[in-house]
Amino acid sequence: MKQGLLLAALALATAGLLAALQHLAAPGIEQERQAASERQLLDLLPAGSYDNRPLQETIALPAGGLLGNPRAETGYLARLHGKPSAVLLPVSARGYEGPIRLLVAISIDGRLIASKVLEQRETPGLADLTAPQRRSWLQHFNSLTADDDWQLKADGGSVDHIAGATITSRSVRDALQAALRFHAAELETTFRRAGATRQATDGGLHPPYGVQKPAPLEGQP
Amino acid sequence: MKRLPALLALAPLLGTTDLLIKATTVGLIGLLTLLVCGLALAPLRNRLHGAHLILAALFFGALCLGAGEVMLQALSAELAAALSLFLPLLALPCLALALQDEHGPWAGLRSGLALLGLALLLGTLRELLGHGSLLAHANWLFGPTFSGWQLFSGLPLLTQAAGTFILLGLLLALFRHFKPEKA
Repeated sequence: MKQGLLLAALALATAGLLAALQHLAAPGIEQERQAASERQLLDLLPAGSYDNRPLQETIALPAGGLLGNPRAETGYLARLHGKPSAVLLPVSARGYEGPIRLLVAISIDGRLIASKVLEQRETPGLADLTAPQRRSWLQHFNSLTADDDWQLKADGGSVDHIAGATITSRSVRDALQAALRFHAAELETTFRRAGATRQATDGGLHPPYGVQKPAPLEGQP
Repeated sequence: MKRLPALLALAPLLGTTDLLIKATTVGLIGLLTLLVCGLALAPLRNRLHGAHLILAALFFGALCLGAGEVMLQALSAELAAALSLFLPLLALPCLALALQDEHGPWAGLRSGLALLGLALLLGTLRELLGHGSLLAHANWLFGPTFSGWQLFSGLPLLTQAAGTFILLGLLLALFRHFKPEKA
């Protein structure tokens, strides 16, 4: 009986302590959770390449534009010392099993920084882009610009493709390429919308803006 | 029997020692938990017996681990997510602490130190040989400026639980080789 009472008191005390701690820490936990989800979206950008909060600076991407997104999406603008340094664009590719959603980071001078898969349904074991052994494949495209050779090895080019998943490889390649084209074409309007001056953004680095029609994709059979 | 607490902590160790940063965190939380548990159980041993004492140990273990998890969530959401499956399992060595005959308030400290040491050893070896890196993902805890070292590409088997058993077997063999027949 005495043991039971002591145990009950112990249970109450520990549960109360834990509840109080949880209550005190709740705001901190919520803040950290938000920061973590931001970091997860932003991990494409190298640390130190931006100093703003890109998720606060959104770029509206209406449906059916040059990017080819089926519904309205949001891109993000990264700045360093107040000047735009990179954009994050969501693109979708038509995969073998369904749409593949990717996030692409493009530096302001039109170079692909990195890309990652947000959502996909490709065949597990064959083209599953999130599998550990496939994850490095997307890195083949890093640091390419729109003018580089985007031909897959299957088509006689220099970029490796996923063996046995040429359709997925081509489709992802096309989507990344489309993102770079979109970036080149929409640079001016996009950044005017985001409030940057033209001088700050291009610095004379870029090909002519205002191209509204997508160029025919390279490497199509 | 003497090493039972550390042995029962093997499951969380297998699950979390593929990265040194995870192993260190689990080791530190385990050390604190076992220390507090041992200290708190010492005055209760006269009043509670058998199953009651085990239940009390469970309360203390749950309190420490719960507090540790809450604080970890506030510190680093990524680390908390990576460890959330395995932290509650650290309550097992607390139960074993109540069961063991060795009394004294510092019984928990010894088990905790053994746990931390094993976690650090396994974490270092598995990350170094498995991932070929050291303190990767340390930015989870120390902020984005600290990124660890990538040395070479490792042997992925060791990042899996099965590889840990192989490594543990090798370590045990090494230990037996250099410390023969105590009994």
